[in-house]
Amino acid sequence: MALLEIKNLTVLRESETGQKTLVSAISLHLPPGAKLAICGESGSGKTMLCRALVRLLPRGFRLTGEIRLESGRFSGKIDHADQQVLEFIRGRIIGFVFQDIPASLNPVLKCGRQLSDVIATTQTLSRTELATALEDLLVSVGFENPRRIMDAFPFELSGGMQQRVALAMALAGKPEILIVDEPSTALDAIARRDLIDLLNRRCQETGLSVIIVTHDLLNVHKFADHLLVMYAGEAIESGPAANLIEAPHHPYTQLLTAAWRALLNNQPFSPNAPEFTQNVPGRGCRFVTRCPNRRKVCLEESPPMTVSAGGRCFHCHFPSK
Amino acid sequence: MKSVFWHPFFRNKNCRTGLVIILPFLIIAIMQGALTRHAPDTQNLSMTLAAPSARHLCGTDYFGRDVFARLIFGTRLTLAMAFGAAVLATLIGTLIGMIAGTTGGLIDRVLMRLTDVFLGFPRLFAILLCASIWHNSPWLTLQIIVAFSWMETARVVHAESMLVNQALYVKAAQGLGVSRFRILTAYILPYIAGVVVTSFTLLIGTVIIVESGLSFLGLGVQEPTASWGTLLNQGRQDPVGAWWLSAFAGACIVLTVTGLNLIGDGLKQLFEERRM
Amino acid sequence: MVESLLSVENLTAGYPCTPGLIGKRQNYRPVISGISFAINPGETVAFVGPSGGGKTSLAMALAGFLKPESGIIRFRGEKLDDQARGAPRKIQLIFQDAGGALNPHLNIGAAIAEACAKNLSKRECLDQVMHFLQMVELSAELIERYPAQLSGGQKQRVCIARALAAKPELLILDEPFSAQDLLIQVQLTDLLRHLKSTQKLTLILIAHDLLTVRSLADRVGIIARGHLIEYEPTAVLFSQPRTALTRALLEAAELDV
Repeated sequence: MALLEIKNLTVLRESETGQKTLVSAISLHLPPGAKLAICGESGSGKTMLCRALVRLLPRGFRLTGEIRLESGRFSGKIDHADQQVLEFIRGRIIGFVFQDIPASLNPVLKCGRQLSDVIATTQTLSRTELATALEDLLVSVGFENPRRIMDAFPFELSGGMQQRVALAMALAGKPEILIVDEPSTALDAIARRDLIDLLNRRCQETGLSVIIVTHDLLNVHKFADHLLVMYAGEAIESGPAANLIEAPHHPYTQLLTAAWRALLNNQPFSPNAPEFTQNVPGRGCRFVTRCPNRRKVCLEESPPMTVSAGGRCFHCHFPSK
Repeated sequence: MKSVFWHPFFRNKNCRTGLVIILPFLIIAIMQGALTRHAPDTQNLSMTLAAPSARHLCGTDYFGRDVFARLIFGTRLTLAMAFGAAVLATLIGTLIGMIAGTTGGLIDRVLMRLTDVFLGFPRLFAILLCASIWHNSPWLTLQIIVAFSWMETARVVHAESMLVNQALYVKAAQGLGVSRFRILTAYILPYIAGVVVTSFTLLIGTVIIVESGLSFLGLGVQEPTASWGTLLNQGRQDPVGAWWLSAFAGACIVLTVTGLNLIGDGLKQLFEERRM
Repeated sequence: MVESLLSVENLTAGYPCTPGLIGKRQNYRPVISGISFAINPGETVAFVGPSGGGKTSLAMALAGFLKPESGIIRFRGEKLDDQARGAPRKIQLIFQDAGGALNPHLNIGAAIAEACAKNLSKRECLDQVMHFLQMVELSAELIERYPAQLSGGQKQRVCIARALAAKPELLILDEPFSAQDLLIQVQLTDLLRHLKSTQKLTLILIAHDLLTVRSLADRVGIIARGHLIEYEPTAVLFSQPRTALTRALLEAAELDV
């Protein structure tokens, strides 16, 4: 049971053309056993945020701010920790499932071999213990026939199966926090449902904390108890998931939930908000170009943080309701 | 779009270094006679085989001709021949590779087997054989060099063409009824341009060496014309005693080819980065 | 009786597993087998099914990118053979990977112009390009841009504009909603609905989720393991699913949320 605390996390990219902020001063608190969903469009910074948490940012990217981890096996700050500490944490305390599954599996090694390599790195076991651990791991992610998976190469498996193998790899070190980046974009509807069910079961059985990054509100609805909505690198709204979806305050979240509801109820929906572009204004609210509630002050001042009842929090000058 | 190419070009270390190395040679080739007061053909029998001195910077040869002047005048000939041969060979190789790669089937197999046959010839031997039969004509020599230099380009272009031919956007274009010719020029060619340019650059160096080798053996450019190869040839009889006859020419060849190879390597890096 | 626009009889298609030395296929593996259905003009049909079931292969076969092993495809009553070169096909396909379907070396204006008629003057061609950009609700300033500078949703619309410029009679969209964010999905659905009514298009949508196609499709076909296992009007399929797989897909669509 681990606790993760993030304060003012910012991710910057340095290039010849200047500095670009991809994630802007995010703070969040993940209690033990929590299931947090981070929602947002492409370009909102949600993937960068997750990679920053495990310090797997690409070259040229820099992070500032504080990440604090408290668990039985490790306590302390990891935002600027050195390589050794990070190697201990990754896999053993924080597990990560990447968005691009086929790229994260080695195509020339059989799945069994890849998985046992990971298990062996995080635990010292004898040969027989390793084999048992491998089989248990595969069964725990929902494979009924572990032998078949162990002998298969990744390309021989379907998308849904590959997803589960990647999940098994992330869980091999028995981490206390699992970060899953867009788990269902490459999966069909049935596989997606199976995956969410699997995650739910896992959380129930082991008390795992999960951060799931997704743009699909269905995943949020079926899985998460907390939700953080990101837009253009900033956290614009957060709170208990069910409550937030039911009654969002921020205009962007309202747009999302309205669209989703229209989809579910088979109703036409014409969002008259233009598409997201990379050019966000320098000051003021970042959503201003698409916001139906915008006024003059939105262009000039950054919206303040408002905390309301029930753990709800949002940044807006003129929330609708 | 031009600046998209030149900026990274100058930033790449290999390209910069290579350019710095071959630039003097390019200048020499252009300026020729302005750089020396001696003529390459003037014989001075009273001063044969003189070692390098202030008056004759690279010494004189068996006929008292100034080696430095011959080197200067030979530069243009050697570089022009190499450039010309490389252009022709690259054109032929690109055409064959592109057609084979995008057509597939029988034509592909025939063209590639043809390429293999040419590759299979012991190249230098074939060139020597041809050159020894027709050695009086430098133009013919050039053609023979071209005839045996297009294959590597063809191979590489073939592989890349096959690759891009499978690309989704080529399929989409076919579905839209885009003509075969347009697909070759606007879809395939831009993709393979990188390997073609790299291949071309490296080929210039190869041709310089081949030409020099031919002239060294007396089969390419003939006396009294000066080229780097003929200069090498002259030093054959007494390579140690009259070292200045071959050494300077040899150094020119080594430097130029190294410079060109560096540029070629740099270009390869640039195009691979773009691909990523 | 309305003559069907497209009728497919017993279509079987697939890929060779291990091509032989002389080019003869060996160990041919069917990806779709025995598929038969018909589509009427102006209809929108959705083919839904799990990944790997053959939906994309069906789309490729209909659009002429995959030669069928057996079976007949009739378009307006005539057999669809190898498409004539030099003319845009009457059945246009919008690929799942919109970015990959655009030539990175051509700007958007040129990309759309590839589909326009060949004998137009420059002025006329430009007008056509603007016309189709407008149709997909993209701004005219995108003409000069290159695909790499566009977002995923914009690239998709450019592909649609390009396909429309080819004046197709049948438009197939392969998994248009899968990779997109919710808002873009919704906007795309809106656009398709609008195009359907203004352009009188016949559409085929390929998807893996029933939810995304429900509002657009008149009829839905379920494709799994290469077979068409159900083919009903949308309302019928949703209320009275006949097969277990259809029921599983309906459950996965979470309609009762």
